[in-house]
Amino acid sequence: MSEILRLEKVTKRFGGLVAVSAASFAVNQGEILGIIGPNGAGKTTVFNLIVGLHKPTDGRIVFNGREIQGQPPHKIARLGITKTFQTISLFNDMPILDNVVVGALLRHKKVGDAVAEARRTLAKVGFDPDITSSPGDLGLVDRARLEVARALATGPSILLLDEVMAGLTPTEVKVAVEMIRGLRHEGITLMVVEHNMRAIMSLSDRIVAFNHGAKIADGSPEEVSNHPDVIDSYLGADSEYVKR
Amino acid sequence: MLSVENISVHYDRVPALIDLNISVGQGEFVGVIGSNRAGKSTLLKAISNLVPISAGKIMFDGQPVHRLPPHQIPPLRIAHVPEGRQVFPGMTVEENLNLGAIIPTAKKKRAEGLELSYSLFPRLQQRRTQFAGTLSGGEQQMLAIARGLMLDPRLLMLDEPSIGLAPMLVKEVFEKVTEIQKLGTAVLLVDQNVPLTLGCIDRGYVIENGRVVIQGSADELRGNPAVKEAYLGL
Repeated sequence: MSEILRLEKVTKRFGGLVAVSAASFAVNQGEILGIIGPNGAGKTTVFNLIVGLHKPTDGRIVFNGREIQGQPPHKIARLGITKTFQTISLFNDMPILDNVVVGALLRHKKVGDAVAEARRTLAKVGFDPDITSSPGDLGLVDRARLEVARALATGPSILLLDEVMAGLTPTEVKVAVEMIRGLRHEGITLMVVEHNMRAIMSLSDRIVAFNHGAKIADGSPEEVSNHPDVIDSYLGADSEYVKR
Repeated sequence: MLSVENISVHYDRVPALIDLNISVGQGEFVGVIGSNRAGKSTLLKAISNLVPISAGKIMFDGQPVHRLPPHQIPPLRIAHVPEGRQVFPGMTVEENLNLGAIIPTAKKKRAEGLELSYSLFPRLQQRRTQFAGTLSGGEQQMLAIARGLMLDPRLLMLDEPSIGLAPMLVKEVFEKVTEIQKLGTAVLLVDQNVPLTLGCIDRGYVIENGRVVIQGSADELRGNPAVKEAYLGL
């Protein structure tokens, strides 16, 4: 598998707080990379650094052989990296379709083309493309789905999903897992932050674990879930994912 | 202690709760499970009077409370930890916590409340002078739960407290809430982590489409085929 994205000793400080500390890892083309770690470990910050919402204090982020750290989010989106927001951040005053059109306009200069792209994207994530309601009418599952659709409509080669399954029932999680697998089949590389271990273990080809801003494990789901530091800081020894 | 009797809630004309009955006894641990949009959050909002009920009544200690404005609910020592954190981003962690203890009975116990909050979530102590808006999502969730505890509640209502928390911390939070309940606080819990919920509660209700469809003890719910299939993923 060829490498699409690489973080090299990336550090992010907020004042005296080191949110991400010399983190290095690579993402391979077409893989689903799970990211786990305790609360405040730096997972969302890593995502924000990759998409350009934060500028690294130090280190390099290389996408398709090109350094992108410090570039603004709209440029990075144009290069092909977008993310969803952990706190779902829809345009609540706009119809559902228009929320997705906003994403699609990145690559379609004509509104008609963007609308057509948005409709295709809505169908991909399981919405009726003719839907006329507004985001406020949607329940949690559909709001998460719409958050994904808007990011997807920008035509990313890497899509970063930040806890899109938070609060879903087991049945709903299964549907979400299938949807994410479907995106990978279309050739999109995915990075997924999630605390739902059942979902992350079944989805991920590989998992990177963080604690206190530093990478503590990187490997197959089984390797990472049995890594002593991951058990200590994140899973707990009595987790069903830890072999005894 | 709390008795929700035949309440209905409508958003515009769309019914969210229909003729719903639930009760929580003194010191009891009660859970509400159901899929998204079933009406669980609406139920907690109705008790806090954040949404008006269109029928029925809500009694607390034998007194009707459904006509009280929302700000008169916390003085009854009913704490509501809302879904989606809703901490005050421009205030520090400790200021957020102190706001949870704004009513006179809780103000007197502020020191104990802070001690409890920080023992439950040491991370909050490390971050006590930091603005809440700079916390990670999961840390904000910790803060929301702790802010609810600061009220020194007789009834603690928790709406999806496990969202965004790391697996180990979810267990710790549930254990801690159980400890608090054992000391006499009644708990009304809504959470998608049904296995853990069933492990803590005395009794529970399953809500679908705004109605109670199943109710019983934790064991009864665990043995119910419909619960197993829809909520335990078995």
